[in-house]
Amino acid sequence: MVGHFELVSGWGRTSPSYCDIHRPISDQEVAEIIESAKRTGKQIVPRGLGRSYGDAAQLGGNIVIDVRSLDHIYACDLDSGLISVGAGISLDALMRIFIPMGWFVPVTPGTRFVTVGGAIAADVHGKNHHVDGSFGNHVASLTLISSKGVMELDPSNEEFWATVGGMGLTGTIVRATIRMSKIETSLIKVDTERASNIDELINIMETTDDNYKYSVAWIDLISSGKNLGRSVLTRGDHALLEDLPAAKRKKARYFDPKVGLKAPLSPPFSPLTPLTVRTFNTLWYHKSPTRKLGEIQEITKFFHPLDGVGDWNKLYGPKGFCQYQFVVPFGQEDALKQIIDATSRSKMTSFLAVLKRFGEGNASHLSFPSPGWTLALDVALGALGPAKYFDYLDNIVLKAGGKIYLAKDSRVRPDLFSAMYPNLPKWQVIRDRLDPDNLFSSDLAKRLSILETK
Amino acid sequence: MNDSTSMPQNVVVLGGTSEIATHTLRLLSGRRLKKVLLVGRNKNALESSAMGLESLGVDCAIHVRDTTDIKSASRLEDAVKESLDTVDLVLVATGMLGSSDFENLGPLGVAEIIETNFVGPSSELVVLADILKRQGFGSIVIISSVAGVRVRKDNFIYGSAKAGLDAFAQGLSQCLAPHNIRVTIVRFGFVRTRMTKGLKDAPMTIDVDTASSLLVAAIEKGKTGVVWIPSNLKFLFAILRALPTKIWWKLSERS
Repeated sequence: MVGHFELVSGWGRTSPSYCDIHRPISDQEVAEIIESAKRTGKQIVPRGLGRSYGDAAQLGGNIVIDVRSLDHIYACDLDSGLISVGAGISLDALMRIFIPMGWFVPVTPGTRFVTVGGAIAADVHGKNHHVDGSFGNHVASLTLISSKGVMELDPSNEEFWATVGGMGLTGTIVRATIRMSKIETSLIKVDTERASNIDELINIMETTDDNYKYSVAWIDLISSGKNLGRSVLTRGDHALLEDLPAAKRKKARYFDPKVGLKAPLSPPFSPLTPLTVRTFNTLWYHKSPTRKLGEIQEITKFFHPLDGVGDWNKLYGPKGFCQYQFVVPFGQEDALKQIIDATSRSKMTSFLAVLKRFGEGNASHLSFPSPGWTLALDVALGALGPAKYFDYLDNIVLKAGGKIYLAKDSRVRPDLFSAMYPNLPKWQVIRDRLDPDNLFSSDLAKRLSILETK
Repeated sequence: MNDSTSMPQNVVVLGGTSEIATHTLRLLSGRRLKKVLLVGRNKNALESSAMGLESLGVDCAIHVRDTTDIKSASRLEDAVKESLDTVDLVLVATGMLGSSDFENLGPLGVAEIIETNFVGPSSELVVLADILKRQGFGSIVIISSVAGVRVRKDNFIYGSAKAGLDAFAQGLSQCLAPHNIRVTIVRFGFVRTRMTKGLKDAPMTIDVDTASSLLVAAIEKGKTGVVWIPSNLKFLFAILRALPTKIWWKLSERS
């Protein structure tokens, strides 16, 4: 297979590198690429739709296996909702095909444009984590091509759990069987309410989150004082047929979202300045209803509002941006408040900050979600400040027993990363067994010394 | 690897005993710096620089440059491969002020200054640029000087060599841009270092701590192209460059 060199980066558009891109169209071709890499001494990383924010799906000067053409549907059981698909198929495609048939993806992150392989490798979570767990919990089996050949894995194998959340470092996932979740309509019944500060928000979420399948809060990280952490909480469930007005029931499972205008070619400077972000945050808070129950929303509006703007990541300007996401355990609310307070005092202006409660984690060694509070915030790069500010947050997070999310990371200190993931040595043992030749790596793995055993 | 805030982990330094380089590496060691290859002529001086950095937790390797050896360049390539997994940043800090008394220096003395400041680093940059191209990413920061922007008799041999290096870097920058390699040319004004000891301060003189922290700031901001440190030199030299020769001579005579 012939590849070609291309400059690739993550969604945050930072630290790009030139990689030798191969786009196989069959599992056989994936195996061939791996075999030929063994001969040439090159290393490999799998890549899907490039929605990891940092350097997880790139490997400068080496091989990238672009899995997007492995997008077949091999089997689907419309009674049980069990589907077998190629790892390169996107959640967008799955939704377009299966929503009209009454099946929804078990977990969706904030974008539909991720592949199934990427969703497993990063063990992505969605607004239903407190109820349903992360993507890996809904994978019945997967096919991995590692440097040792083709392997069929299921949750009874420890190699399965090293691959779930394993950031593509155990091999290339080529197929997966997923349990979809049953729906009656393609709409969500949403309750929206405002919380005037962080304490009120924590209280509402702790007491009533479990009444909803989906829950997330948007936080204004700029307001301070008594408005510190004021937020808009949106929570909901899949609407049932009976929730819809009679006229809408005929097309209850209609789903055909359009991607709107693309952001213009990267502007020379970011329009997301402190002033515009502050204005936006204030408007957003005040335009949201104080309390509105049972509103019927489309899936795209509820789950993927940003997918409506193509390439919105370019709005952060030429130097890109960093999305910082961490989780701290329940009981560490003070650390959460300390971070929100520090952010509102700092000059960092986060356009989007979302808070969510995680439920139980799974058996994956490197999976991010674990019981606690997770906050994600976006900061434009290219100025002095963010680097040291994030380092400061890392220390608070680590001290509180929390961790950062590899799929979002582009800058954590390697020693702090290994302290945040105490299961790393266990994972390394399994990975070394799967990849004794050290064929799989990534810029992320090198930056964080993920593969270096102590 | 470089992180998203441009902080490097593995660095090659040409002119590994330079004071600005040493101070810059100290600052980077507080960020993400892991490993450094120090390149220079003086083995003992390189070893003591390395010792200082190792005490800060940075792994160090040294490579002694031998300008008389035509295979020197390929030995540098081997040294890089042996000591570093990736080359995230190449810092060119080679500098030898020398004198400008060319009659006393003689042809060999003049050639040595030009060799140290221009020929050596340029030819080594060619080797390093090739490594960066193959790995698909990387940055190069080249320390230049205002001495090469408007040349005066007190330091014109050094100045002319820096002017050569500066021009070389501009061309290299254009060649490497399509390969995802960023080149930054840092034009320093007068910095109080060993090299400038005993000389009278010039306008906007800074000490080496300020110089290196401004250099790290430029890296962190992801600056490419020409950076002036301190930044106001840009405006001063826009004027100085435009001055008629006779006025410039008078002016530089007085300082």
